[in-house]
Amino acid sequence: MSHLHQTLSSNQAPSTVEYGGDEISAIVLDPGTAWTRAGFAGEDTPKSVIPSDYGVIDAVGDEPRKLFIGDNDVHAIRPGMEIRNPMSDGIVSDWDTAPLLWRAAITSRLTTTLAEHPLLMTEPSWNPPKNREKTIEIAFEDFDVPAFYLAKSGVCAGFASGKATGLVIDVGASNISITPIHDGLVLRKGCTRSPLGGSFLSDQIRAYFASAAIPLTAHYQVLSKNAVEAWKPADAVYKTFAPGQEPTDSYKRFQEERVLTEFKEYTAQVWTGPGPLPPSTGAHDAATSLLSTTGRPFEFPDGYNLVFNSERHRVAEGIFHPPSMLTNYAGHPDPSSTLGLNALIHASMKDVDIELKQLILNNVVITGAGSLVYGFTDRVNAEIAAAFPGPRVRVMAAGNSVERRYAGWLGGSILASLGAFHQLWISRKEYDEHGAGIVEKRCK
Amino acid sequence: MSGFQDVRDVMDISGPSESTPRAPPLKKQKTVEKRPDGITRELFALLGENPPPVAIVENKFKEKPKWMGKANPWEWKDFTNPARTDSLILRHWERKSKEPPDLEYRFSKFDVKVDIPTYSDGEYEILKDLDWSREETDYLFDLCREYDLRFIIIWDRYDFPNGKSRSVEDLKARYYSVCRSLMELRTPLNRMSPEETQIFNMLNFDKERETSRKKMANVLFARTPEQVKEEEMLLAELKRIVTNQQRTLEERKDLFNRLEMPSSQGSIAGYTGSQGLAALREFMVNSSDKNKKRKSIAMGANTGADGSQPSPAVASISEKASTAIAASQKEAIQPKKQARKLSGEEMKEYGVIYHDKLSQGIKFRSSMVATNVKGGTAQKVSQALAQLEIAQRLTMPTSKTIQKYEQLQSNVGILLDTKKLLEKVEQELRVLKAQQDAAKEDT
Repeated sequence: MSHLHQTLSSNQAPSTVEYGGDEISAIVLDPGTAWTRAGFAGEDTPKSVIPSDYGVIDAVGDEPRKLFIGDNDVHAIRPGMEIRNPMSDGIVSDWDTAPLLWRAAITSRLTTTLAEHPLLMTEPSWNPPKNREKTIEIAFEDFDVPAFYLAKSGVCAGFASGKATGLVIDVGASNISITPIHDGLVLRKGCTRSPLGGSFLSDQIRAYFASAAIPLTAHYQVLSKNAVEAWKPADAVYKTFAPGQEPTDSYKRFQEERVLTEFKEYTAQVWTGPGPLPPSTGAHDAATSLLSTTGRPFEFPDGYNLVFNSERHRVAEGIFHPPSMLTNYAGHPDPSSTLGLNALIHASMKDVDIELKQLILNNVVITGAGSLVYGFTDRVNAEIAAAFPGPRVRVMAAGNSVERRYAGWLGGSILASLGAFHQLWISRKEYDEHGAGIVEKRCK
Repeated sequence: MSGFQDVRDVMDISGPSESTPRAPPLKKQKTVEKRPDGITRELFALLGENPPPVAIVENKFKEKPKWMGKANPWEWKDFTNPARTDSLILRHWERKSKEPPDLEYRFSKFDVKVDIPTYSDGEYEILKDLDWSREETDYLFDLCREYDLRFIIIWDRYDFPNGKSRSVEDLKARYYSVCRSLMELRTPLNRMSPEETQIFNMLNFDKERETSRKKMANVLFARTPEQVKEEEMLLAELKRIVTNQQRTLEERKDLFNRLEMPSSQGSIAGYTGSQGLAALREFMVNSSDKNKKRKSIAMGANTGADGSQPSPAVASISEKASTAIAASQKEAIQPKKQARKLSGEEMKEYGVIYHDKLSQGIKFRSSMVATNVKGGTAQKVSQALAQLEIAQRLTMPTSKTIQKYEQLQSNVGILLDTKKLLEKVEQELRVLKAQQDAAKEDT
């Protein structure tokens, strides 16, 4: 019986001075669209972070299918190597490869004996039951772990900031998700998301380059370069490939993505308001004069460099105000029906009980690498404060970029190293008894 | 000290040093003892009693730590958690000890469960509710158990097949009403212990009130920026008023004190001359000024002015004044006669009121309500007014309302008197009738 042991009385709060940690050498795995993070519970950063994109050369004749996983492998130039991603919309869509990626993330740096370590995995709040069952199946059947738990990444991100109640705004690669949490549980009715994450921002930048006829080159294409003046054509020697030896288009795009990431980190900036970015009215638009900040230069891998003014604000504006997104590329989200970040927050708060609204708005947590774009948190802060003038709004975002990027993993690490958590693991015995359906019952 | 000794050494004076008492060398020894390493004796002597202004770094190795004995070994050990129903074996690092290994896992004490009551089929008959089916009630109680009574989470996850949509208050109301009924069913109200009664009363959930409270909270939450700003401004204003209130009260008191003038009855004719004014001044300085210091200064000034020979200017004025006094006495009466008699309408227009009698000093009009009724009736009148919920003291005592109030008072008094008289007459009538009846029967 579970209740034969001594427990605290229900009206007694646990002591705050007591150390609650008890590390059992559990592994925490946080699979995302851009990166798959793995590490030991109780540590503050994941030891193993690998790109979720992998290279694949499909089977030809007798040659079996070849996979290239991890930073060292996936960036190498190989003719015919396609770059693929097992995730879509933040959840696993390719169940053949995802487990291989996960295993690689763990075994490359942490341990080869998966059977000795309990495994905690994170999942987005919209993960369907089928996927969750599939995940637990892989953990027990494939990885053969002794115990398993599936935690919501929103809740984990809240824990990483020390919040059990709050509003988690996670700007991931594939989408922006808003998760209201209360007492460490997700408020399902308030979960919202829209596909305006990091990839969207990359696409916007790419579309802007296309519209402004700015050539985008990847690092691998350049053999050598000479310094040139701003706005002058590049003076570089490009790599040539023999026919049949060229890298694939997906590889090219993947490598270009790295340049776009550099642009996001270095040049792009979110218009901090007040209000949305003034619309563009030609070459010398109102916004340019309004933006007192001077332009920021950016140099492409081939040495071509130029200064970006209001454009660096314009590319990020679609996140907050979808109608102003660039639409000159295929597969862009619908500008009129997609919810911008402020509309998402509104939609999320609408279904939260009034009792909690105040508390939740006082604990807004921003995480995800996408939120590291310059000015992002200021804009979110301004938007929330304008949308909810009554209550006191407090937005928290870790200043440390590592903490911001790996908040989901970090929360999982905290959770799995707590002594009181160890009664929540789904053990192998329980899995054998109840089957995969137990994950719905236990991981709420 | 040592500097002195150095001089002695240099001068080669040895005799007197021996003859000096024993105390100084002792002192010297003390200072030498205090002297830290890395500082010369001479320099230290210059420092005197004061500690050195800079920290002196000692080039010394850290002391070897004193180990208590052998290092305490740790071991990678299996453990089971009694809070689990399966006997999952996990492993963690533990201090190696000789104690029996079957010590309970220390985090199992956090496995706290909320006590949710269960009910039997028989009991459910009483707990029935038209709005709730047995299945849905069971479902609700299962959720309560699962989420430890976090009603907001329960409401969030609530998904009863083909069920109505329920608000948080609906769920709470059902849960608490079932708990309350169950409690009453198991222990009748009169047999409950005080603690149980307290719990029983706590289980009373007022759904209407809670709903309206949340509605109001919603309104508060949905305020516009303008409303929020206005509220902030009002709050700041309130704060300002509260902090200023004390000061305002004091100022007002001061003002009232100033207004309490000496009696002003009689004509001002006496003060129109300089002599009269001087007399008035003396009177005011003596009577109204309570500040002794100020008074003495004023008196000094006064005597200075009066004691000395009057200056020509003063003299000429007094001369003129003395001739004027007689004339002014006549004139003073003349303007009074000339004052135009105002008609009733004009009086109303200009707000002029004549009072029959006014005592000196300042008074509030409300305290001047004449009591037209006297004696025992006065008390009855006030009782009657209290019954009619008319305040004893008017909140807005204008002359009109005071007039009406007085009228009301006297009217009530008359009515009461009449009533008393009527009762008396009726009583007499009854007595006489009785006597008459008795006389009839006799005959």
